[in-house]
Amino acid sequence: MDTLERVMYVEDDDDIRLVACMALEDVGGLTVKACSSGEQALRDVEAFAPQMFLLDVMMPGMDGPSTLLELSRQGYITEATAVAFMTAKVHPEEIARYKKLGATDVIAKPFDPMTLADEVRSIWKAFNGRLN
Amino acid sequence: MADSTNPQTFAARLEKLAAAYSKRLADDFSHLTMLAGQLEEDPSCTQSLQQLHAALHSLAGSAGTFGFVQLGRQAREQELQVAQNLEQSCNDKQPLPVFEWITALQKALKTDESKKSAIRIETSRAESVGGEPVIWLVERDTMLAEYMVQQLHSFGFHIRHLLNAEALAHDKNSSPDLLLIDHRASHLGALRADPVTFWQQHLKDFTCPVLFIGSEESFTARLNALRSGGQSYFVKPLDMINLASYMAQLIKTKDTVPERVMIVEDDEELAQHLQRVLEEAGMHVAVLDRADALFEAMHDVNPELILMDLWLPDVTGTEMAALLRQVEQWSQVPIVYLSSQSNSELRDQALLKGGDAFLEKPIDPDLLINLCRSRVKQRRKLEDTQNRDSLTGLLKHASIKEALDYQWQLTQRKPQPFSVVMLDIDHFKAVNDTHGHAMGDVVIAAVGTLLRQRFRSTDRLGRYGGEEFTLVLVDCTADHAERMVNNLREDFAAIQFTGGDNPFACTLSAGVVDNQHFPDDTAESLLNRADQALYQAKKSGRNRVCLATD
Repeated sequence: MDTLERVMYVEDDDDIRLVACMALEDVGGLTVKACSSGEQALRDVEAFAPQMFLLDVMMPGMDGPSTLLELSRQGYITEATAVAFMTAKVHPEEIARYKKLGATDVIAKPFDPMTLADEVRSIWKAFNGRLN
Repeated sequence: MADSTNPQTFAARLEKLAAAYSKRLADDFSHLTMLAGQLEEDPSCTQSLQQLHAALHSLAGSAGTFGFVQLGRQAREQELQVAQNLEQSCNDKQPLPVFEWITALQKALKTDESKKSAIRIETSRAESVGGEPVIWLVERDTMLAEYMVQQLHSFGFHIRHLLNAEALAHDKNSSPDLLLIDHRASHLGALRADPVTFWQQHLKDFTCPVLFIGSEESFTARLNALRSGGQSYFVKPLDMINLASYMAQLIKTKDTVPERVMIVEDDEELAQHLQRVLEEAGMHVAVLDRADALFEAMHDVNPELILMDLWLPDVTGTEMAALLRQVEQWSQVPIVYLSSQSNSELRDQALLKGGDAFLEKPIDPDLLINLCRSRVKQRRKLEDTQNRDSLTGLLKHASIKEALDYQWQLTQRKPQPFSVVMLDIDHFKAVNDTHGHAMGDVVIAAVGTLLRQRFRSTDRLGRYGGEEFTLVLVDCTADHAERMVNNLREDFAAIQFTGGDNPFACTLSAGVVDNQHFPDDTAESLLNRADQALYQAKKSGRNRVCLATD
């Protein structure tokens, strides 16, 4: 399994984006490309080539699910790409719905900045475990 | 964690972000107020409702991350109501009490702000996952979970939150050091139908200790937790300091000191076989083949359990047991007899005369290991309740002195360096006077938890009295001890205690001595030297560690 390094993170809330980036980069040692919208993600995905996407579900304009749809339509989601939605709504049936949309897992908001990177890595680990 | 990261800066930056966030909340509130005004004029304006929904959603998703738990929860509830309202057709729509909601949100914010200054400990030390215990928390109530994550994090635990029991099965690649589970953490019917089987099923792949939490205080709840594999059951509302301290102890005992077993058996082959079996199970085993050397051997080995042949040349096991029971120090050591005779009358007699259990030859290795383990565990547990201070989980005054004496005697026979540390919280009286005795207890408990997290299980840690602590650090020179205690001192000073409106920090002073610099000292005089060194540290300005000098 490849080690997780490059994560593309899409979130419209500036404060949350800032704290999550800090959590992922400083605590988690990950390389993060942060985007404030789905549109920006689509523009930057080619150059960044992420191993994993973190998508906020509810965003103005393109929301998380439609960003994921467009990303996979354009071929950026391969078998080796993990996708996690981030949302406050974490009822089991909703998780199931997001997984149907192609998400590997769902991260609950609000998240703890201290453990976010760990959560992301364990999703990555579980995702790769499934492939083997 | 990236090596280059300085945890202190990270915590500081996080704090800055949180401060920036609370400024932004003012903007959010004025935005909400504007929307409330618009909705008052036109309660069914879809556009305003959608904006309100988005604003509350973002609040619900972000507030908790910055520590505004109540605010986040409140916003989430309101968000759901707006979502419902949006789904209703225009005719059924009731106007939403948005102004009232804003008042509720502001009240929640106030609660959060005051809670931030309630009794709570924050270390500014950002934790890495490496080396520090990982706890999985299975809890359906996300708000409670979030609170627990925050609180337990302060005590150096790394918490991962799972929403329900089903999530336990997802991650087969990693495993926790401890599981903390709400006993109702699943919607599945199987849990309601048969909770014990349900949890046994879900926990069968886990070898770590399990603690259950729940809101019921009842015999059934406790029994179910026990049968489900739980070591203990904690009732909500949870006393976090208590829980943290229990967890620290539980995790610590995982890398526990090996059981010390003495075998008294004249059959050399059998003795060696038993020794091998127990040593493979990780125990320390000494074999004694002559009864008359019993007392010397007891001194040397200080066993926690004795395995004794019922028939030795010239003396019976029961006689040996009776002799041991006469010496107070050894009167409590469990004795397990080994015998080839299955004679119930004899057995009863042996048990009556001071034995604890009876094993028949040929001895089943698994039974032997389990019996030894459980008896030693029982014994240690009993000793703990007798010898440990309930606030800190450290040894009580008499026990730490005893431990020091024992260590000193040990090194008289077998030279080995050890250090004695006297440690005292600076200006503790002022803490009590300013913040109250409850807060004083929190500070003392924090030292206890920090000590237990920081030192090895072979070290002896005691609360000497009041706010004074004594450590006996085995196989450790004064220089080394000084370094360790200095690290502890720095970490302790970084803990932020917040009581009422006045956050504060405390410092420690300590005096250190080792037996190598003072080979002619008794245990008592070493302790005195450590105490004098502590006095030096206090006199020269506190918040420092001093080495004992001649």
